[in-house]
Parts: sequence; structure tokens; C-alpha cells
Amino acid sequence: MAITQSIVDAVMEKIPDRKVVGVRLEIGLAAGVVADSVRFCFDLITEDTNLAGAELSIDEPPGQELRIKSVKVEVN
Amino acid sequence: MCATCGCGSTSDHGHGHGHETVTLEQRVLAKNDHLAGHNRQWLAERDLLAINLMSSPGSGKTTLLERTARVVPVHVIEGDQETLFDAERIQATGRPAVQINTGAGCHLDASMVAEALRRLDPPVGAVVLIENVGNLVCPALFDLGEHARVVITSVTEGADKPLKYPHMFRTADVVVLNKIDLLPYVDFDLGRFGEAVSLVNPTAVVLRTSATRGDGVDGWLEWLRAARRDVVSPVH
Repeated sequence: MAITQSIVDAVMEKIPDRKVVGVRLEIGLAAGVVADSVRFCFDLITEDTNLAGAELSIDEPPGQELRIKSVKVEVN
Repeated sequence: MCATCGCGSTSDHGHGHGHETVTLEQRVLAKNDHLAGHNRQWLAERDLLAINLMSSPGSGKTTLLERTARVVPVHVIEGDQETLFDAERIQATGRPAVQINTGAGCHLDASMVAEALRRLDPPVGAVVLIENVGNLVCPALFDLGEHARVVITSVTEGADKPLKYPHMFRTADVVVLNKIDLLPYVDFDLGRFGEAVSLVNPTAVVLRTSATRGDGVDGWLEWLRAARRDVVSPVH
């Protein structure tokens, strides 16, 4: 939950006013974070935000990296 | 014409029309780590030693801190979801303590600690002990700007916990096994515990204490005093 909140906060800080339709994450296998937990928490946390309904893509390479790779936004 | 979506664009574009991919390449914990760096600097400027104490709820962190506070002039930051209980316990020893309440939050982070440090306002050269929220999972991920991490577990929790919570135990500079006065009454395999710690963290210092009875607390205080000596501020 804590990590997912950090992810959502970071995206909202970078993209405060456009609709976010996708978020690509890298969660290293040794990062200490469970991708499925992030998916579960993500939907809860993003309700009523500009990220609501966004699709989460998660790469899980070896290592400890915990990174937001990119964000897909709607172009007006 | 784009062969994927049939539009007229020849440049790289998202194929759901009206979508644009913005590259971030940002570490999720970048903001926290940045603030932790600020905390580290704030502490160094004042020649302060900061220790992050983590454990499950009920392992004995606060009791160990009460014992410590009676003999070492520590300054304490307490973290709990709710209540002022722990800060009050430390204050009852005569030492300053500030309480952070995280509400629904499961761990302390660098921004909470930054604010608490300002409230605490410890004098130059002091020892700051930060008691994290009781939790063997999330606190491990959040750098607070501390010099060292102490992970406390107790004989009532089982000898396998270092293996079950490797991220937490791997991050420890010191592992304290508390409540050793209860060893006669529980099934706790000391050998297995030692092996488990070695497996996940071969360099951790392992101490055994009974914070309620006092056994082994001298060893903990010895470690703390050595840590205070070893942290040399760039000012000096």
C-alpha cells in the first residue's frame, strides 16, 4: 500500500491535470515489493483521481529497482 | 501511414488515438530518498547520531528505549498509527520525545522524520533514537536519513522470522533478540535463529536482551556508545 501510494503520488506530481490511461512500472524481483499487491492497491488508491482506470504494466526483471518507467496520457 | 493503427503519423506514437507516452524513468522512492538525504545533512550539521529501530508490534522496542533513556541522554522520535502512549513512556523517564501519528500509515518516512526532528530540536552531539511503526515489512523500504538500523525480534516470535522477512533483516546493522528471559517457556531454537540471521545478513551484530529484566542491555548500550563515538561530524 505504501509503495503504491508513493507511485500514485509521484505520477500525480508529474502529471497533475491530464488523464492518465497507463502506467508502466519496473519492480525488480529483489525489490521487496509484490507486483500483485501493487495492482490491488493501485485501483483503490486511484479512484477519484486523474489516474482512475489507468492500466498498470509491470516489468519484473532481476534486481532491486523500483521505478516508474513511463506514463500514457490522453492528449486533448 | 502507420501500419498498426492506420493513421497518417509517421513518428513514434501511441496507437490508441489521442494518447501520448511520457517517459518518467523515476525511482518510486526518489522523493523519499531525496528528503532522507536532507535529513542526513541536517543531522551531520548538528553532529547528531540517528538510529532507526524497527520490529513487529510488541517485540519490546519501547521497553528497550525506556531502559536506554534512563542511562543515556537520548532524544526520541516515536512512530505509531495512533496514541501518544510511547512518547509518554519515554517522557516519563525524563527524556524528550515527540510522537508521530501516521493514521492509516504503516511506516515512518523521511518527511515525517524531518518534521519531528525540527520539533525535537536536539542539541549538538546528541543521540536520536527513532522508534518506527511496529511492522516487519514496509519500514524497511523507507530511508529516514538514519546512520544505522536496529531490528528487534523476540523469542515469542519464532526463530524463522529472519528468513520470512529477509528484506527487513537484511537491512539491519544490529539484530536484537529480546525477551530472552522467556526462553524456558517457549520453543525457540537459538541455533536456528543464528543460522537464519547469518543467511540473510552475515555482517549484522546480533545481541540478546531482556529489556524487562535487564539481561544483555549492557551489550546494547555498549553498541550505542560505540556508534556515537564512530559517527564523526564533518564539522569536527
